[in-house]
Order: sequence, then C-alpha cells, then structure tokens
Amino acid sequence: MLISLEQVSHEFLEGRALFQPLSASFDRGELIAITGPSGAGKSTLLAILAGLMPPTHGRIRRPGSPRACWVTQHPHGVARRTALDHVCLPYLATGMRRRDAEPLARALLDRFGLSAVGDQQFATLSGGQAQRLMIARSIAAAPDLLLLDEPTAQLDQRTAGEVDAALGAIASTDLLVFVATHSAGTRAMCSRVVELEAPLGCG
Amino acid sequence: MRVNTVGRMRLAAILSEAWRNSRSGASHGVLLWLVLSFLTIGLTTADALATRAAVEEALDYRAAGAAIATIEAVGAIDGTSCDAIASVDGVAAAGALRPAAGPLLPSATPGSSLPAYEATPAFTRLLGSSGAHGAVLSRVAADRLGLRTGDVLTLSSGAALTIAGVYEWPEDGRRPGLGYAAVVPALANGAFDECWATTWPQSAQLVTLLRSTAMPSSAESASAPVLSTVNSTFGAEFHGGDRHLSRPTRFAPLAALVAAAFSVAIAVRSRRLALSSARHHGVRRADVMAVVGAETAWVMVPVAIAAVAAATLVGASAPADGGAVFEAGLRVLAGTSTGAFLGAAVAAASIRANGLLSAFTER
Ligand SMILES: Nc1ncnc2c1ncn2[C@@H]1O[C@H](COP(=O)(O)OP(=O)(O)OP(=O)(O)O)[C@@H](O)[C@H]1O
Ligand SMILES: [Mg+2]
Repeated sequence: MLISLEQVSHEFLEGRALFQPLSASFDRGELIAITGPSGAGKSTLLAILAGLMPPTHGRIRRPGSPRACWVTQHPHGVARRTALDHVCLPYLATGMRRRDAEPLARALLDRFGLSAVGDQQFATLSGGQAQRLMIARSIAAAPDLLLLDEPTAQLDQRTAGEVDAALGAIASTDLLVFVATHSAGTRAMCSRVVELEAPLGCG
Repeated sequence: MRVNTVGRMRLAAILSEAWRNSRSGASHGVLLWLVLSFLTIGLTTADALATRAAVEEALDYRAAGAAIATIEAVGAIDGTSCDAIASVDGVAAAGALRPAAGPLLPSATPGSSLPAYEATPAFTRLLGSSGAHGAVLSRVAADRLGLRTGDVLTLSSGAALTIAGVYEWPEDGRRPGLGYAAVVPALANGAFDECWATTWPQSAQLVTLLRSTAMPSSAESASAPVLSTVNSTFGAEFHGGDRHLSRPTRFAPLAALVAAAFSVAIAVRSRRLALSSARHHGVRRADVMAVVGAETAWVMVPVAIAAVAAATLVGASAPADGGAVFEAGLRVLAGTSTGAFLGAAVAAASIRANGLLSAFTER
C-alpha cells in the first residue's frame, strides 16, 4: 500500500464539499483514472494525493512520503533544447554522467515512440509528442507516484490516442499512476476508475 | 564523498547544461550580453565624461593663471628667497618680478616703447614660456614688433636683446600690465616688488612661503604685503575637485550593480516555468543556481572584454588622468559582475520545485 484514503473529501467553502467521501487504498503498478464532471474536484484530489495540500475531511496516509511527479495539461519544456535533453536532465540531476544518461534517455524516448524526434528542439514537437515527452521525462525522474492532470484535454482524438498508448507503456512499471480525465480512451487504459460524485443533498 | 558535484549534479553536467542553454538561446545570453555591455560601457563613458569635464575645468583654471598666487610689497620682496620657493616640494614654479627702470625703445620703430619688467631667472616658467636666457615677449608685443623666438630685438640704445620666448596673456580676467610687455631676466639677489608661485593641487602652505619672501624691513614700511592671485576672477580656490567628488556618476558602480542584478534576475525569472519543471524532476536548488551561475559567467566574459576595451578607449582619449578613468571603468564592470551574479543567484534560488503547481501550493 502506497497511499490510502479514509473518508477523504475537501471543501473550499464552508459546508460545500466537492465530492462524496472517498475510501480506498492504492499500490505500486496501478493505473487509476479519476473521472467526474468539470469542477468535481479532480485536480484537487490529485493535489491531495501528491501531498501538496491536506484534505479538509478524512484522513490520507502516505507512508514514507512517496515522491510525486506531475504531468500538467500544458507541457512546459524549453523551446530551444532537444527532446533528448529534456529526458536526460532527471538523470543528470542524480549525479549521472551525460554519456551514461543519454542511452537511458534514448531508451525511454523509444518506449514512448519518440526515438525519431530525440534530436529535435522541443518547440518543433507536436502537442502529442510534447505530452509524451513530458511523461517520459517524469518517468526518468523515477518518482513513486505519477499524477497526470487531463493530459489529453488539449489534443485531437488521434494525438490523444498516442498519449493513451503511452499510458500503456507506463503500466508495466512499478509506479502508482493517477490520471484525471474526461476521456473514455484514457479511462480504458486504466486498471481502476475513481468516479467523483457530487455530495448528496448539495446543489 | 564525491567532490566534483555541487548539489548532486556533476560539475561537467552543470557546465554542459549551462553551455547548451547558452548556445541554444534558452538562457537569453545574447540579450543579456547586449544589455550588460551597454550598461557597463554607458556608465563608464558617462563617468569618464564627468571626469573629463572636471579635468578640463582644472586645466582652464590653471591656464588662466588662477592657480598662481602672488604677494606684492613694493621694493620689499627678496628675490633669492622667492626663487628658492621653486625648489620646495610640490611647488611647480616661482619667481620674483619688478618693473624695469624704463620701457624698451626698439630702434626699428622710433617713437614706440615697450613696457618692460625684470624677473628672477625661474619666473618665465610661470608664464608658460621657458626662456631663461633672454627676454620673453607677450604675444601682442611680439606680433606688433614682428618678432619670433630666436629673433634679436635691437634697441635705440644700440643694445641687442635675444627673444627667448613668447607668452600668452589673454584678457581673461588676469591682472593687467603684462599684456603688452617684455620680461627681461635679472639677477635674483636683489629687491623685487612681487613674488609669484604656483602649486598643483593648490596648497594652503603656499601663502606662508610667499610671506617668507617679504623682507623684514618692509614691516615698518607704510604698506603691508598684499596677497592675491594672477587671475582672481576664477576664485582663489579651485572647487572643481570637490564638485568632481560629488558628481552624480560617482554612483555608477552601484547603479551598474543594481541594474545588472535586476536584468539578470528578470531573465532568470522569465524561465521560471522551465526551471521549476527541472526542479520538479529532481534538479536540486544548488544545481539550478550553479547552472544559472555558469550561464552568467558565459555572458560576463564577453561583457568584461567589451567593458575593458571601452574603458581603455575612454581612458586613452581622456585629456588627463587616463589611468583614473580606466580604473573607474573597472569599478563599473565590478559592479555589473557583482550584480549579475547576485541577481542570478537570488532569482535561481527563488525557483520552487512545485512552481508549476502554485495554483495548489498557494492555496
Ligand atoms: N483555491 C480555491 N478556492 C476556492 N475554490 C476553489 C479553489 N480551487 C478550486 N476551487 C474550486 O473547487 C472546485 C474543484 O476544482 P478542481 O480544479 O479540482 O476541479 P476539476 O475536477 O479538476 O475540474 P476540471 O475538469 O475543470 O479541471 C471548482 O469549483 C473550483 O472552482
Ligand atoms: Mg482540473
């Protein structure tokens, strides 16, 4: 067990809980979809799971404070640096030599179908390529926990399919992955779905 | 423990990242180079111009004779002790002066007369003319008589006077009498009417030295010695030095520091999303600071070259004190460098690992 929730909910306004209390536990190797209408509190739940904020209700346990990595809806890369550079950096950050980091980074690019664009500048990548690159980069950072906040919301259907396929490529790792999503394609890649429901007796 | 790392990154990796960011333009290196060079060279030039103005003011002051102090006591100045002042440390020139017995009467132009003075041998240096062995003429007198240095002036008495030099005596407020005149050398041991001396920079002790040339016998004479300067319209004391010390551009190094710190900090903060993403992916704060610091060093090398070249140029073109102008330029460069690294360090340190998620962390 990496994370467990007991009757967790959150309210920004007094007496206005975002979703019905959640109880569940999650472990490594799981790929979990978090769904619900806009405003249901998906992003908020991701932040709670990442340990960025405590929930106002219930209890969250994160034994050993697992390290979380986010993939945001908009990929934030360095326009003039190459795709390879982006994936190398997390390795360099651990004290690895560049020449040792490059083969690992290229292997990751390959896994996410990016080997052809490894030497291209970030600015030249398509939306889907950039998003997959960000996923590859976060895997290189070797977190315990990966959080993706609507990674395909900005993408057309075909490109979204590429990113969904990339999620399949993460599933084989021992990461615990949460994906906030509206997309059926993304949900289909996941092992479990957490559906956020509006609290009873509330607007 | 490994020593070739900063936070966790290897030094080689830090330099490689900095180099790739610089080369690709990710660190805005060219823009920073332009801004910091412009800043350093601009401030160096502004301060050099202020210094030049002060130097020129001082040159004008001295050229007008304002720095020549005089003591007058008719027939009561000891020529020998006046001449001796010239050998006191710091005294640039000194000499005694008295009217000659009568004007010179050039034989070539009968009826004309040229007022004449007698002076101790060292006196002519005060006129900016080095004619120790012969008479010196004012420019107006030389022109009117058609004489030049080296010519011989024949007097109606039959005597011949070699023209050892010509001095300028424009009407710029200096004491009259020497504008149309000849100064003829005389032996120093004797009584004179005036003693002149000059030091640069000015010294209060000069007055004491001048007073010492007044012979004791004059104490009982009717008129006490009168102290003055050759050109009192410029003031007895030069205040350009103080004005220069309080010039606004004396803050140029500080201004360079502040402006450079802000420029670099703004450039770094403009990359905060990318840098924050790097932090989020495991790059330590110390390593971000090291990479940004190395990028700043990359920028500062050509800035320093440009600034030193500019300081050399403005120093070389200064009318005087070129070394001081060059040093002032280096101080501005030191300000720019300090500010650049300070701004880089503070801005890089401010980058947070969850900066991308501030919407959550700031709740
Ligand atoms: N700091 C805050 N203060 C008050 N209310 C907030 C704050 N942040 C979010 N909210 C509200 O909480 C609700 C849930 O927001 P959240 O971003 O978690 O929803 P979401 O499910 O991710 O929505 P979307 O699908 O649009 O991304 C929204 O109504 C939002 O306006
Ligand atoms: Mg959201």
